[in-house]
Amino acid sequence: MILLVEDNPDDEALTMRALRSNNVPSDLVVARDGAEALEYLFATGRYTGRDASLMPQVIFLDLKLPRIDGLEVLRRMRANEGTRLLPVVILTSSNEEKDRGEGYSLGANSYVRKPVDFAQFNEAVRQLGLYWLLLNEPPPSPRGV
Amino acid sequence: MKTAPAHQLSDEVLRDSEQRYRLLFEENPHPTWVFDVETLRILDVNRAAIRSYGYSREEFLTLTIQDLRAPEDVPALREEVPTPAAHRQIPGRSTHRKRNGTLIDVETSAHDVVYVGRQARVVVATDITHRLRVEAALRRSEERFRLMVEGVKDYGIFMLDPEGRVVSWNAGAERISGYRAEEVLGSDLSIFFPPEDVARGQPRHELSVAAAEGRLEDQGWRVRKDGTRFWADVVLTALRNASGNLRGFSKVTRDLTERRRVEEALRDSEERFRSLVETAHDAIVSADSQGDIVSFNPAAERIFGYSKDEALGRPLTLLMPERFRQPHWQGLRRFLVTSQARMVGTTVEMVGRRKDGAEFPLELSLASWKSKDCTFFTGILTDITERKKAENEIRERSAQLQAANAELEAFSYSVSHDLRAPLRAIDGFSQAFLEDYGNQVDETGKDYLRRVRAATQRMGLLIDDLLDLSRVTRAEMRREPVDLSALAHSIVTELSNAHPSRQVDLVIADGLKVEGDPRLLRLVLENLLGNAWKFTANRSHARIELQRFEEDGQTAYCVRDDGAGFDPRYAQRLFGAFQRLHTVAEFPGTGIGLATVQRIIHRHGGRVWAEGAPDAGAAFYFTL
Repeated sequence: MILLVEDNPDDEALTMRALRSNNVPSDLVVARDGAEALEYLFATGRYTGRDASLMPQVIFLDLKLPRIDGLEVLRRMRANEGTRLLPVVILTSSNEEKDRGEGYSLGANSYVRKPVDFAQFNEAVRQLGLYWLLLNEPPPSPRGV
Repeated sequence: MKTAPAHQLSDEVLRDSEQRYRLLFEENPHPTWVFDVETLRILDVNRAAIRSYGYSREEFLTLTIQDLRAPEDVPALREEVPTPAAHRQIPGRSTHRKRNGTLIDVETSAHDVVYVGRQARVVVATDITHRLRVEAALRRSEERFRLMVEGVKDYGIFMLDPEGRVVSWNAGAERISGYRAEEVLGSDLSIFFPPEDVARGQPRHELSVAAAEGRLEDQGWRVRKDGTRFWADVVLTALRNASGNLRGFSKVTRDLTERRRVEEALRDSEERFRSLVETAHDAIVSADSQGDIVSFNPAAERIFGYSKDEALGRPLTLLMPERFRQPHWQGLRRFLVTSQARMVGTTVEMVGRRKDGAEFPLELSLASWKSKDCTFFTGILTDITERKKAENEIRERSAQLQAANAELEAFSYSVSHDLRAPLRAIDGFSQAFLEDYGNQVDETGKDYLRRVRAATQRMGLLIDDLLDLSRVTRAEMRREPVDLSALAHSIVTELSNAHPSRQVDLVIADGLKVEGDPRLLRLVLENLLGNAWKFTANRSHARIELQRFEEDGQTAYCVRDDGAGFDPRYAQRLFGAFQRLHTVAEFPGTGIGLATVQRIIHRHGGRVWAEGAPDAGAAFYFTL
């Protein structure tokens, strides 16, 4: 399962299309701002009652988000034992040095800039999906430790 | 009338004479005695002798005159006495011994007489011990005085005769004038005067004034033996004897050249100081240890609005707002008691108060100094109203600038995030449309959609380049060693990999080591080499160089290609943002790359310029 944290419905649609057309074998959960993403991960708020043992294999995290921005989401995830090791790919329009630096310092596993060219975007999403869902071995679940 | 008989008369006369003689002898104030020339025995002695020698009359009459003499005088007496002295005075000087052994110097006068049938001599002795002592003391004193005068080095002391000729000379005179005593004795005093003074009759005039008034004081130039002049202070005193006749002059001369120089220097220095204080732009105010103003310069009058007369004698607190007065007094007391200065010797910003009550910012430099055990304070006060205003303006400006920068930062950030997203949507959905519904539109429709996609991609490039350009301006500059050669190699390797079919000779000079910001310099080479790569795309076999050379003693670097080149008339426009000399159809590009290059080179303090000709390649030069 992939958690896509994305506020832009166009990007959401394009990402979903890229995943589907590339046959990436995964469910996609979309959180449309940082708060919703955290609620989903911690099974609070709108997601109270969600089975918190089910964690996404990877999170595609946009940075510029309403309410709680992507870097803050990452900070809180890394501060929480249950989400500390979850793979996070920052997927964003910006390639500002500041964002990259902070993203990696906060423990992002990868930083990918969304290309404007859809062909390139498509390719990027395809590779990410295959890599994180098929190739990459996830960290041990916290409860297994 | 009864008359006495003749013998009676002669007896009387005799007695009378005898009595007179006795009276003269006996009452003579000088010790007087009569001695027998043969036996030297004293035959008679008067009261003064008894009083001064301490013997009684009876004791005297048992003595010889040898007994009155000092022992060492006795042999001389033996020779002295036999000389007959009838009818004449024998003057003498000898040393007598009193009964108590005291020796006295006496001057004697003697004459021979017949006394009671014996050849005898009358001696009148005058005690001159005291006179001799006074005379000796006087002689010693005169000698000391003479030695002292001769030895005085700082004053020229010498005597002139009534005609003005030098008759004595001391060491000081020699030192001051350079003349030795033997050279100058007998010379006229005019040799000490400058010729023009001699021509005016100055030397004679001084003598006559001193003669008439007893004394003359003068200051003026005098001439040394070697012709140099010195500034002399002269006191000329007329010397007259007891009867008032002019015997000559004494002249005391001091060389005041050095003192005059020092005084002039001091005067100059004071004058300079005064003019400085008077004309200073800053207020200069001095106060005594009571804190009362003792000097107040014109600038202080101008700045504070008080006249000098209004300010002098008033406490310094006059110039301060009320709230600073108490701390001022405390500070002053502490300094006077403990010498602990919090402000003395420093420059501080304070608030001043003008006569009209207006407050203004000032800068105060405070110094203290002691004069005759009194402490004074001098403050130099600068009205910094204008400076403060300027500082505030600068602060405001830089705050504005900071705000503008922050705004620019936020803008760029937002551009980088938000402007690209819609483009991605336009491009993405155009593509999706082509993929999903391509079979429902004809070729013209597909061409339109391809144009939409091309435009969005170009817009994406423009945004990226604009962000690069603004980043170049915003980024912190670092300066560290950068290897341009290595940088260039890595860039052309990327280019070659991206376009493996291109045939390009790459000539990159080795060891191009510079100081600069590695990231920004990479951007420069990326743009220049990228341009060279791009504009040689039409060559089947291209050549691109990176070289170093010296230009006007400066090291310059050059990226040269043999590509499409450009019209040199437009060389200057190349570096403007969005300036393009080729259509996008000929060569793709945004027209921002060279503007970015120029900005980076300028931030490094260097220059950038270009040479080229249409179809004859281009060369881009830069210095750092």
